[in-house]
Amino acid sequence: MDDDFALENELRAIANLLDPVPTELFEDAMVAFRMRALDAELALLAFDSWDAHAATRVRGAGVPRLLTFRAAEVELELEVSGPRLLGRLLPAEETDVRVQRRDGEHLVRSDALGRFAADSLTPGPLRLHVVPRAGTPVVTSWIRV
Amino acid sequence: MEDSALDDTAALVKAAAGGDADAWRGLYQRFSGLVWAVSRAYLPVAADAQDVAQTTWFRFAEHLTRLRDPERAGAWLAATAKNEALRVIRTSGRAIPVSDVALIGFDVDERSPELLLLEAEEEIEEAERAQQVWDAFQELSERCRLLLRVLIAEPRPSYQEVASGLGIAVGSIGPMRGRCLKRLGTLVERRGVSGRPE
Repeated sequence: MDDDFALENELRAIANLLDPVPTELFEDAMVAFRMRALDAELALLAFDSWDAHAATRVRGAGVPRLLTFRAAEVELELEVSGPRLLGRLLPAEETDVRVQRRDGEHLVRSDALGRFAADSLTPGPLRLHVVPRAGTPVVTSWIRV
Repeated sequence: MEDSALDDTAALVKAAAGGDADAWRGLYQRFSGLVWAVSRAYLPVAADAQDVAQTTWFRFAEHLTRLRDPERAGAWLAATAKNEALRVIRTSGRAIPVSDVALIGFDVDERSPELLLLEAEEEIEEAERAQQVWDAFQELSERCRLLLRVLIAEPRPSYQEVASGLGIAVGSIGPMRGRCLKRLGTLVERRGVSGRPE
């Protein structure tokens, strides 16, 4: 039993040495903390085609990723193909949509059918912040593109 | 001890949810090793694991005020990292041939700065022993490697947290741990490495 613990502890020390937590993750975590959306309702991920399709599916090979986020009054549908994002806000309305990334945000506008688009996306965490005309602001759960 | 640790986590979550950055830092210190260990257990490529860990911390921040069991934040983090890692595996096109030790092996640079430093300090024997034990660890079965990689997070996670990171029953961890460490001991011995330090 003592032997078990000695080996476990030795392995832990070796992992710390040879496979340590990357130091950048601390700054990522602090950014994540600062970016908490305190004023907004969270629209949770209700569907992700990456979960629905089996292992044969290859990322970024021309098959768009489809996502649905749901809040109490609002739904957001996204289609992500490589660096391009197409979205639809339901119920449809013209409003500001903020595409929020780790290092800033990009403002786009939905049209009367609720459609919006963004491109030149780089890999990393992404979420959308929307202020519907009626009701509280909505922010989607973070996804990785 | 166990109880106060649990209360402590709940208190940190509550304080962080209220905007206390020090509490958030405390949560990071407590669980960054666990999140990394779970990500790494599933993903042989370090960059993939880093993406998963990053996403996990973003998710945790947005969920701070919504956790059903704040005292189980570690288990929530472990489960989230596991799910994100499985998502990467499902969609990467790199289906993991689980029995292929060469592929599943971590892409650790054998001449990592840490190791070079050790050598510079003329602790060559210890460094060799460390590398041999690590290599033996990579030779373990997929199940054992997954379990031990999560278990050896720093600080040591609870069995509940390990179970959440692996999607298995808490009760199976103790017996599995015993078998896997025994197996590791045999593999290390077979390599004929000198006894562990101390």
